[in-house]
Amino acid sequence: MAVDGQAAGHDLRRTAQAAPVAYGAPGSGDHLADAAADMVPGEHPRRPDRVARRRAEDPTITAASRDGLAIEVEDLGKVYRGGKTALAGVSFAVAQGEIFGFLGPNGSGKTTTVRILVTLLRKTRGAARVGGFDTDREPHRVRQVIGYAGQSVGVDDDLTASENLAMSGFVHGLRYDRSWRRSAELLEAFSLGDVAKVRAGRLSGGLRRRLDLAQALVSRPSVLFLDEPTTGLDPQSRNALWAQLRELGRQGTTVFLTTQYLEEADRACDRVAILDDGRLVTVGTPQALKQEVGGGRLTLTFVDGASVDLVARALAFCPGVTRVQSGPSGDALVVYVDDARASVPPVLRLLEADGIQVASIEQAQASLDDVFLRYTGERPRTEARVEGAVSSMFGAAHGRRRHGS
Amino acid sequence: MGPDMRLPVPAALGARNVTRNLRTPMLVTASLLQPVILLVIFSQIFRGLADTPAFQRLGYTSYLAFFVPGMVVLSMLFTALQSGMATVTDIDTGMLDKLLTSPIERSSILLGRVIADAVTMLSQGAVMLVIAVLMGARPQTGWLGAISLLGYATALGVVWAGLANLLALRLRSSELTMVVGQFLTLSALFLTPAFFPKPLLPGWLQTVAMGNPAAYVIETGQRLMGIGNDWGQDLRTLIALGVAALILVPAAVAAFRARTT
Repeated sequence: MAVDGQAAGHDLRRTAQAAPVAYGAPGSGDHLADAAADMVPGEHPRRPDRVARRRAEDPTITAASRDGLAIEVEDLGKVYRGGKTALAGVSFAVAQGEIFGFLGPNGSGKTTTVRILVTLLRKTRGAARVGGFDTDREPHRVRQVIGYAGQSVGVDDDLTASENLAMSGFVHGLRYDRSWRRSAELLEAFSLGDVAKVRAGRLSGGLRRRLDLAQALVSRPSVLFLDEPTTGLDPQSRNALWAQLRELGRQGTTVFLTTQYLEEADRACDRVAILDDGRLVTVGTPQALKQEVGGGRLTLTFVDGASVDLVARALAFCPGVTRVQSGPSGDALVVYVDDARASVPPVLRLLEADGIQVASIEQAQASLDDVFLRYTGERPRTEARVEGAVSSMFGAAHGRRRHGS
Repeated sequence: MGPDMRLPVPAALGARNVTRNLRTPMLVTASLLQPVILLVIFSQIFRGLADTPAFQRLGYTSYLAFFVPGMVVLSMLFTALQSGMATVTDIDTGMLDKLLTSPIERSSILLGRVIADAVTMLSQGAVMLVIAVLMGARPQTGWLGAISLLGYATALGVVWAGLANLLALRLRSSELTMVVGQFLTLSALFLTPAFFPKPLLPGWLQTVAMGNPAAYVIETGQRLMGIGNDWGQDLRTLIALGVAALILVPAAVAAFRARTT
């Protein structure tokens, strides 16, 4: 972070101009998107031999669950009326019982993908199957096997918690008394027993979300779709939710979710995919993805400031350094390395030799944030525009001038 | 209904929508209150009309009895608007998405809405009629005529709910649905013989009324309440309602389908 205000202001001006350049990942996303597409060959969608082959081929699917695929998506594209391309050819497969996290900046196409898979949107290209059923040609069959909780909480505010769940049972064709029993079961499982008789409209945001999730499970779906299920929940509720999702995964339910909480995705998801601008840029286990960006990272700040260019040139031949990138706050640079601790002395030596004075150095293990940052070139944000506005206001308040935008 | 029965989905959704109305009674009372107030005020203001020869020549004896059908219809048109608002709410809250991803027929969702609308409208209309009777109105055609009036008005209300849902699904905003819906509803009311017998209206208004299903229902109601039944008028009303339904219902269904693409 900043050493003192003066130096930080100076740094910012210089680094801001060079900020978008990332080293070590030539062509950044594209070749990886191709690689992801290769894993799921785009042949005729209905040939069983092809499906069988892919089950054997997709190396990112865990071996134990290779026997059944819950979700198969090939070259999926969506162009909205008006010409906006939301998805530009996405391919991936999710095995039964997997918890699959879909990550990406806002507007990258996560929700569009979910809405196509739950039959709320029609795709304009490619193929999508859920539970083996085509989302366009057999939407009714798809609806029989899925549960869905969208971004907005789909509960009826005028019905009580238990009535909401029973209603879901009626709608899913459960018998009358079975619906009420299932409602009671789920109230118990989701610790909603105390508010069973309270109208949903009077419940707190967290409880409503929990009720919404319980509702998605009334029909015991084999594939559960959750669009940002933890948004707006306090940490306790989030942890409880993840525990519940892991339990569902253990019982064989496939969970497909989008999230902005990368740390949680790291802990809870079997595999994650990162989407950027309608394209899948990478897919794999959190472990493998973190390995890919390097085992660790060093976050450096400099006495006189330094650009990504300058530092990258200085460290070009430093063993163990994979990449240099601008950091989360304009004045810091992030150096990705194989081994965080072992890299500190050579990095410092080389920088000093080039006359670049380091003000601070911080070492850390790579996180999913780093993976995300590498592939999308941005820090994950919940509200991109607002954050931009706030930081420029913050900058103005501190007498900084921002260059470029 | 036995405990091991499967509840038909439209019935379940209908029950849900009625429950909503029961739990937010203001919704129903609000759309009832305005017509009741208008009924009380206008039946007093125009009371003297019943004594004029022009009015009497048509066979009417009480302005109150003449005026009731217009207000019964108005209360149902308001409820129809609320049906559209409820659809916007279901879109906004994600409730509609929930239903659309359930393995149910699309038509069940609309049918559930219609069932609830009809139940609400019938009870509202019944309340209006009871109030009118308490105020001294006596239907010329007796209970049967009063029930027919309720039937016609409810049918019109359901058709109008189709229009409100069409607006809701296309505009996707409760404010716009309310503004546009209220404009259409009040126009539909004022371009009818609700306040003045049809033969006494200016020619152009009579012509406009020929294209307004509410005008047929109100005129039929006025005959049932004040003069006596006229099968020709019944037939014309049924045709007008049928034509309106044939235009609005498919349009509403199409708007509904468009939500899923």
